[in-house]
Amino acid sequence: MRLSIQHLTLRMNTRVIVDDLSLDVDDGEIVGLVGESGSGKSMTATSVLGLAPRLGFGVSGSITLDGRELVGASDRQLRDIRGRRIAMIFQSPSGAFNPVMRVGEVFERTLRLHGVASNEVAVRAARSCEEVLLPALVLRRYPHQLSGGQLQRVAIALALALDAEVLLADEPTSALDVTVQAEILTLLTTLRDRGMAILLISHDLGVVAQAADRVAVMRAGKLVEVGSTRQVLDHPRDPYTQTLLAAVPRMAARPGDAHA
Amino acid sequence: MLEARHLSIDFDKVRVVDDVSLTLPDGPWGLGLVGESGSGKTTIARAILRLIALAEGTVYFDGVDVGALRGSALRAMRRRMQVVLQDPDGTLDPRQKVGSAIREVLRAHRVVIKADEDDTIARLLSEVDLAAEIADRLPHQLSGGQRQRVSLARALALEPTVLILDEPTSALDVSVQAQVLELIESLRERRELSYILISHNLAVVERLCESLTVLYLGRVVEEGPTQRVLAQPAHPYTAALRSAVPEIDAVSNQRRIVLPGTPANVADPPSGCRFHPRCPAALARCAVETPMLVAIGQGRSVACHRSAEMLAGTLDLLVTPTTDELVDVSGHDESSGDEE
Repeated sequence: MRLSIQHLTLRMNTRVIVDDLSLDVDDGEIVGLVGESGSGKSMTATSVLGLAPRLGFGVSGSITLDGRELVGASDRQLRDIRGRRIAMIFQSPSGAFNPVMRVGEVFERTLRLHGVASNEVAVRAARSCEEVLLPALVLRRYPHQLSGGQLQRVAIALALALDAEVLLADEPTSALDVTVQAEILTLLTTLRDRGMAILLISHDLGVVAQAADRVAVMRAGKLVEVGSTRQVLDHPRDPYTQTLLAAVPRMAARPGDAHA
Repeated sequence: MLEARHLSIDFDKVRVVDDVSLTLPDGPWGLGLVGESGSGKTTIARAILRLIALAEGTVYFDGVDVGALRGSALRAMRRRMQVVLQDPDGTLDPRQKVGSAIREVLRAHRVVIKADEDDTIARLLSEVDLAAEIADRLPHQLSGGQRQRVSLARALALEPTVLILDEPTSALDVSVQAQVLELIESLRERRELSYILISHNLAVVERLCESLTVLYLGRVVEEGPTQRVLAQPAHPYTAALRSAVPEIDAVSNQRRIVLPGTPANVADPPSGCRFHPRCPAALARCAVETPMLVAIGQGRSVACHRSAEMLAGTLDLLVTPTTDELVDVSGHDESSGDEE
């Protein structure tokens, strides 16, 4: 198992934010983590990066990457893992980029920081841009010159340039237009098919339905249901999952219905 | 009835809305305005509210030219046309209690005498399914759904006939969104409201709107009865939007139409049909000749040279673009997501 979360519990003072959560993400798999605001989904991802203690959370349980324990690991030990082996992308890609730094410089700094030889940086940057279907021209652009969808691709390309094994994607399409959203989801499934382990966090069941192989539903810090995407969405067993599914506005008109 | 005729709007000499006409009949009626970031949805709504100036065109409210109104007549019009925005936090004063926020509106427009204010506030809150005690709360003591209900109550305080709803549920959790949608539905019947609903969520538009206008880069590409348009889009862009809706049901996982490129810059719109660089069905003609918005029957209009083939179902839009076509980063300055 690439990434394994076992009995993870997060506390803030006396409040339990994440309650005994266990979830695995394997290579070549997209696991969708869904739930409403405050359910603890983003904090779960934050814990995987080892950032929860720094934010003042009490952490218990276990998070392992290839069997190596991350809970309680020192910052030095986590440095090689955080950002490099486990990459994360966020809802607003523009917030993740320094506005006065060209995209190429972001690659340069990030790759150098993680020990990539300077003569290899340009090659890797160009290659990973190609992998996310961006021309190498983007490396010469500033973030504001790119669209939201393009920036999200750049963020993914950075993860690829570092050969990240695990991608934590926290609402990666929520700020994007619907046609662009579809492109990013397609890209995520391509990365999955090449062996990446992806945790896709979303409040949008439609997004998860499009991309995830398995779905985990969170409510108030607890996992209420885990299963294959179709099983959970077509035959939800937990009452909360059922409520959540019933609340989603569905399209009635289907293309081709018009002649009826 | 609200009629916007041939609206054009310029920002810094850039035409961001180009010859857009909309008709909103008397309520209950919903008109959905859809399109991607930068398509001009919010700009059009703001122009109808007279918050920004028109370069060309006229807005008629019950036959009266809104642009010519001054003084008390303008105030009266504003009272009848209210707006609810995506983010209620931006419209509620964090230090002002809910009751006081509603009272302020009642007083500014002298809706009721002072003695009746408390009753009116309680009635408005109950109309949006909030308890009267909410009047004593501050905005931060409420949930996002409750705050959006307060925004609705405050808009209703002036007894408007027309609402502009700009992404009213986009910031809400899905279960809360469902409740607010239900509330909007019941209010429109009870109060015979008509509204322009701006949304990126086609399922929400389908549920709440009788008619639909699809915008691309400041122009109307297609309009008509919501069900008909979504069931059988006559414009490839509408078809792409429809196919991009992430759906939950396995049966509806139809193939998505992948559009090459990114939405063009409105400051430098493509020649001919503005959609042609991204259109999977574009012909050489589309780059040269601007398609006019023409009626195609059943209350529908479309601006596409290939709409006849679209309607006949003989166009294949599922062509996968090549990498070169997929992305255009020739350096334009648009960022997506600014109004989502």
